[in-house]
Amino acid sequence: MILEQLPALIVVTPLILSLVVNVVGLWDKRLCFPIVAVTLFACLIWAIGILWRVIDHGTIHYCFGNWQPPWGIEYVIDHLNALVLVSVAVVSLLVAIYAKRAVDQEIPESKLPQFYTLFLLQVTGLFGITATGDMFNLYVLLEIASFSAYAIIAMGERGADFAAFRYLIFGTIGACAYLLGVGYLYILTGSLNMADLTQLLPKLFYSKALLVGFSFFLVGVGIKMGIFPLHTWLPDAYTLAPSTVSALLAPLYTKVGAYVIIRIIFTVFDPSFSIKLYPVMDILGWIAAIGIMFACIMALAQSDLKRMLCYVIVAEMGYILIGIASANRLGLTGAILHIVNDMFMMACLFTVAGAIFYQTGTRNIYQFRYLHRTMPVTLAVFVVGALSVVGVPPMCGFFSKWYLILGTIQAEKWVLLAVLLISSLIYAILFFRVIENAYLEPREAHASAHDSGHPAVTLDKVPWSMLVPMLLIAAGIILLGIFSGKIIMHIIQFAVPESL
Amino acid sequence: MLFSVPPMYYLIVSALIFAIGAVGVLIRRNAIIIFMCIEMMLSAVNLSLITASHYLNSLDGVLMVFFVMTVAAAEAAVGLAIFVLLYRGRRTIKVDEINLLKW
Repeated sequence: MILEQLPALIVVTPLILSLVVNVVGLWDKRLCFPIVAVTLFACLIWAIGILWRVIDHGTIHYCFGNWQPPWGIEYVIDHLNALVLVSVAVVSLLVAIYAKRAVDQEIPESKLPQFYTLFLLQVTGLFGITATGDMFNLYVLLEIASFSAYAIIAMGERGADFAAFRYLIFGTIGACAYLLGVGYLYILTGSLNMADLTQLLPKLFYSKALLVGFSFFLVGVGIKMGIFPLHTWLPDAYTLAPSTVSALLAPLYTKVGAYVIIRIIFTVFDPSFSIKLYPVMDILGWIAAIGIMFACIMALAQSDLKRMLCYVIVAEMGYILIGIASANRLGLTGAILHIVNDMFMMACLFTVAGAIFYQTGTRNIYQFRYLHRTMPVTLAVFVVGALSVVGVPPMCGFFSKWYLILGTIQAEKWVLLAVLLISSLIYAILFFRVIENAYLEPREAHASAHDSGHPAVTLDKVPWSMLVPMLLIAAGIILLGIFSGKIIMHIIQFAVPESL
Repeated sequence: MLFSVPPMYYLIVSALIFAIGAVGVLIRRNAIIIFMCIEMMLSAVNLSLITASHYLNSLDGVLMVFFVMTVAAAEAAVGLAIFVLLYRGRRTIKVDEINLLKW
């Protein structure tokens, strides 16, 4: 019985509990965190249940209030969104556990209930975007996720208010563009149910209005996922947000946007629309190539670890776009695998950045000297994440990059292949620069330096509640790498449309 | 009757309002006016949804407009809260007087 309600439960549970947290927080602020942790743990169980059912029985259709589609809102969960749901659930639970101590340090106590309310609302939005099978419902949930993101980012350090303002303007224009796209589809077809649209749209493929609507979708979702020319809100917003918030938003929000774009291009519109009829894939490929190179160069210029990682996200979104632009099975497999992998890699790196800030109060890469003596565990986690982003086996980043590269070779898009390889080299420079600053000690001019300046090797002073989630995420990166073959065989190969 | 005027004209008006809103966002410097321009873009979308709803003889579009209005109201709440925060910190809401890191 409960198994059938899972698609609704995964959205409704955090939604209701987000209100409960706020009310309970007025009474006792210490209760907020346990409620959030239990809620997200429940969501993880729901997500795993959904994935298990999808693998066993195929696509799940859930009609809200038993209103049959296309009149009612339908949640449709196939292999693609089941995988994204589980990843979002795992990462948000680990980040929530990690958040406890960092939040105590960074957010004033009086604001804790509001913080946790927004945290849960954010997760609600992300789950909803992933689960829904209705274009307009997706808009509403996109806005729920965005509003909570604006507000929660504004809680950050000095300058966060303006970053949140800019994000608000950009994000709202993006949502507006998406909504206009929804309007166009509605005018043309009279329906907004994704499965319904899949049937109705091919007859209209030569309509100019449909092309305009499609472009609005791409721009709208492009702003939300921060692809290259539309990314300008991203570095400020994620750098200046509280470290927990960047650890939650940076891995999840943009990746869920990438999921939406895959859903629109490959499910709602038939793949032939953007492959054969219009040169959408070529345009996306060029945008991705320019964006990756731009983001890599900008990342090289940063001395703030978090800001550097923000540009890495922009580049990673380019990677996913390259997978989409390859327009073949291998490329799309790589793109979907990269969505999952990138959630873990970015969660890993941003939690590390938060932990370093927690203990030392700095994010400047050049002040990381001797950090391997005072924070050995945190830095080990960082190295796992960094190697994964660079693409060293057996970390997961290698495998998705492998598929992306195979995809570009099969599509004979050599520029994209070159961009993938060059950007990996730039990643190596980027991350080894951090590792060098943190691990290698300058050779002192005099032997007397033995007793001065070298802190003794100690375990990290970061609390265990932060270290354990970080270690789990790092373990996740390695496990995802080792089991990537199984994930592709049992899940992703069914998520790639047959016609590719 | 509404459609003694053909639906096309409503859509043109909606596109014009949307364009005015978009230009306003790009050229105005007062944060609140930028925000109002965005609300205008949303209203333009609403107009096209209502037109579609009438044209297709279905209530869906009207219902969607209600949701969009709710979303816009929520957005105004979040946006104005952020403006208050900005003003408290900087004593201005002119965006070009606020120095920021570009790109």
